[in-house]
Amino acid sequence: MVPSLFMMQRFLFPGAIGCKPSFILVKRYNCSSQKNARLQDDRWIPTVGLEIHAQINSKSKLFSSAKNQFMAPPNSLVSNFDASIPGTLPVINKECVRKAVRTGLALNCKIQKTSFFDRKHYFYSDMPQGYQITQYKHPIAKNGYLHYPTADGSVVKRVKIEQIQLEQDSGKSMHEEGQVTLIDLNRAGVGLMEIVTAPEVSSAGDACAFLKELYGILMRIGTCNGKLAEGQFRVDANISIAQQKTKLGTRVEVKNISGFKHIHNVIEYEIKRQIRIVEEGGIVESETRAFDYETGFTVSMRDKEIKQDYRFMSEPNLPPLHVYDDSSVTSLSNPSSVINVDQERRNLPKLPADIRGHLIESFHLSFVEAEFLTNRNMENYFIEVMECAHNLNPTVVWNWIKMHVIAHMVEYNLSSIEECYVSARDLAALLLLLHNNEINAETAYLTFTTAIQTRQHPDKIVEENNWKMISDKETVTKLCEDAIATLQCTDAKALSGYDADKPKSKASKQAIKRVIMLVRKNTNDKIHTGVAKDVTMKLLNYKRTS
Amino acid sequence: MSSTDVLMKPLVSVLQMLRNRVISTEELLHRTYTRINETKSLNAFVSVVEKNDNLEFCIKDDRSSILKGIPFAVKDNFSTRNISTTCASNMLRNYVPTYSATVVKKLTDAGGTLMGKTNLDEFAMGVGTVDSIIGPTRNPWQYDFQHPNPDDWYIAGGSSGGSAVAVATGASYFALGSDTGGSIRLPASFCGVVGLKPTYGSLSRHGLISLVNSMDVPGILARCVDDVVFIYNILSGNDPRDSTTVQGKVEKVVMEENPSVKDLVVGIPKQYYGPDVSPEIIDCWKWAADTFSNNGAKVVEVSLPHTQYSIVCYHVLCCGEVASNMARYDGLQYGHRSDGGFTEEMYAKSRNEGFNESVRGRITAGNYFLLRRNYRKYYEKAQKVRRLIQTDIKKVFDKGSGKNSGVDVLLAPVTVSTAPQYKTFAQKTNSYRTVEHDIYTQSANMAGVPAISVPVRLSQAKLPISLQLLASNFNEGTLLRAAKFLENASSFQHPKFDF
Repeated sequence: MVPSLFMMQRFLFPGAIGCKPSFILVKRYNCSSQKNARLQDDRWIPTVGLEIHAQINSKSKLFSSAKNQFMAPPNSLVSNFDASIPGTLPVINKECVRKAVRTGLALNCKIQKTSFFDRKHYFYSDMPQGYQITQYKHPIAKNGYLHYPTADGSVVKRVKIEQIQLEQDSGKSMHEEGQVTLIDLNRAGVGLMEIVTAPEVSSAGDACAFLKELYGILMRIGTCNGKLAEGQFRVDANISIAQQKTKLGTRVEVKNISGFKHIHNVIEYEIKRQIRIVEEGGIVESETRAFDYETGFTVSMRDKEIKQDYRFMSEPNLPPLHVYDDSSVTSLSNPSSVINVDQERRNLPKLPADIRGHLIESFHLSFVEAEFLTNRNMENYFIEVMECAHNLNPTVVWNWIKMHVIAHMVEYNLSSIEECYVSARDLAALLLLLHNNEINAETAYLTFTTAIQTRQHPDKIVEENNWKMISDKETVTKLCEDAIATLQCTDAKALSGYDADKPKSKASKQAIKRVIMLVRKNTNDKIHTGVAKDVTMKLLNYKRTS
Repeated sequence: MSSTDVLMKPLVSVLQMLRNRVISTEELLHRTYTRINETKSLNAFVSVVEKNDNLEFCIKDDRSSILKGIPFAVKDNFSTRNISTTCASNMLRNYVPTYSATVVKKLTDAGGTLMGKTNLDEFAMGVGTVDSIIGPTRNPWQYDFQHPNPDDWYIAGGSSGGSAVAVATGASYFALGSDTGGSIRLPASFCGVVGLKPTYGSLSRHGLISLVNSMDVPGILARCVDDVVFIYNILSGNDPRDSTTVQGKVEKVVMEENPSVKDLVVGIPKQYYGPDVSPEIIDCWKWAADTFSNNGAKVVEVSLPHTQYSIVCYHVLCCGEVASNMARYDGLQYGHRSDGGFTEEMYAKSRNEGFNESVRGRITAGNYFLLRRNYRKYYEKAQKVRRLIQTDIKKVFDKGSGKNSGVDVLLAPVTVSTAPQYKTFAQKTNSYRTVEHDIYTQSANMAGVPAISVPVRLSQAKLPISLQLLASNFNEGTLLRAAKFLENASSFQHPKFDF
């Protein structure tokens, strides 16, 4: 039989039930309802350690030349090595190493000049070799840390990064009804970075804040695509509770959580579950649990009798992995063929924390505003708008970017601002028109959508459509005076309700409205109503006092 | 075998004949197929390539290639595209690779004709070529081709026994084998052919089905040192598909007709004088040492103090890697799959039916050694001792280390005896046999150094006695020079088998 990958796609075996993760069948220690939601949580100190599996954004897999791509037909991206065909050997993908090094540098790690690969053994149908190649003892990066702002940005905290290891992703098993298991090896062998933190996080909120910061960094340095729904950023959380800070409780591992909201829920749930067990006199078992996305519970994954022993051994088919620095690279005959850590450090872009800091300091944006722009790679666009038009209010610019530019990008599924037809320069011109009261907000939005459709400059659009409003004080005053005079002659009662001491009273407002309505009529709706309103008030005040 | 038998001629001569059209490639292939048929009862081949397929291939060949259609054989644990590769195991009985091992491809690209896949112990675990799904391979020496006795014949040695027999009988000019603990040198010595285990990393393992990745080396079996050199020069070098191969260029070995050994220091490892070694072999070893000495070489006694621990450590390390490498055979993607049951049950049943007892035994032992609670006690300790053995050997070859001037080659027995009879051999367990026969060969694998088995003379029972030479890493040039000298000095003759 020629090994046919296509066959595997249709592969089924009758015993599939035995292969189903037991979390579908077994449910224990579920927090039953909301009635116990308010436990005395403050007596307990939770401790959370995180292991993040970030898929490396590389063209091909970690040890084979098969493509790394999502949504390809099943088993269409599988090399002989990925399918564990006998006699095949791993060959390290330098692009993956480079990206792990960049990640290590961004997380302030010490990059190991020599690291090694190990085999971690267990049988699972979507891991064809019977072992995963990982870095167990000597990972590529160690001893880093990350400063992250809490959700509102009010406090900056620090988490120690224990290590970053390179490893293979597994394939995917799809357990279908009718006891059939389908296996797709497209993902098998894709490079992962496993980022391991120290158990130093003490709440679900902090865990999420840390993860968001980490996520932003990986996006920024381009080492992970970060598509959460596609499992490119998966988290294992180790959670325990204790009464004193010095002593850690028994830890429970919840595996394979995607999505920040889910992570938050899992940690919250697990902390509550553990507190409940202990307060009811029980003992928290050291175990691995899975998150059930449907119920929102965590459930035990493996029989506790079966303790996994991974039988680690060093991977004999891969030589030690070397990276170099400026001083060691000079002794090589072909320095361009290796990875120079110093060079990678120089090539690192500005990280999110620095960008946010700059936005807050130079433009007085709030943390949330700065974070919003940074997370969406919009800071340069924002800065360019501000540079084109210094007197604009940064918050107004931010608001416009958020409400219109980004909304447009989302609507049209644009991946970067370069694809948007309204450049920063154009937006600046548009916002200046608004700022100078030459158009109002409504016209500004109309101009914006027209600019996207016609790719014309806002000035030209406003000009050609004759959308400019009458807003210069002198003209407006003249128009308002005329209107007041007309009203006084034709309908004296219209203005009699105005009270200069109570300009916000119903009668005062009514009087102003009458004037404005008349001005609008007289100018064919070209009057800038905001300006006219101010002017009318002043005129009416003057009339009363004089 | 008379000198008129073209199938027994050295490569250089037969290539000359092909070039001068004294014989055609087709004729050569016809004769080889006849020889394979004549020697069928030896059970050297697991599978033979269809005659028509090969004839078609050689007609297309333009004769300008290096090997001009020369027939060769490959041990059945090297992947061969569209040709079944069984590892002599039920697990891979019906497995056909979609690609060829780098070494196989290099030979076919050079114009060689692959005749077939040769027998071995299942997954190359064994020293006899007796534990195979197609049954044991028989040694042509002292074999009665006309009236074969089902019980009374000598074993070929293993695990590359099929390749050794194919070469010894002229069914191939040369053959590929793999050597993890002595699997080329041992059958070569039992069958009276030359067997080279090159330096780890000098030949690509890509496509060789792994036994022990850190020790496996593809190697060459041929009837004379010159032929080994010829093929080694085709095969050696970096392969981007095998990250453990040598970086940069490997120098081609150039061989003289009558190489001198005047400048060589030959080491005699004193720990290899075991009480179990047959007196005939000790005698042959002494003769060889004297011959080197009489021809100007400096012969010195050297010490490899950790030799006695080597075989035990080899066993631990070998089992650990075997357990790991065999994990992929779960019956899902390829190989034997049992019907029914839950997934784990199906795995267990498939593996139980797919592997023989000695493979299963090594897997079990290996998993035991790798358990978290045992790792330090066994696996890590064995790795440390392996380092000591490597250091022993490195020191012996070290030219710069003052006191001991450093040797160029080591001269040692290959094993304790000549080929045993199947009757006697079959009574012992696979692991006992390994300990007995790999005792002097596996050190070279532990250290990665090149070693060669050279037939020297016949025993009283008219069976080949061979000796082993070892050199330092990537010093095949010196190793092969010493081997050629030994070959020239010895009186060994390839016999005329009575087919």
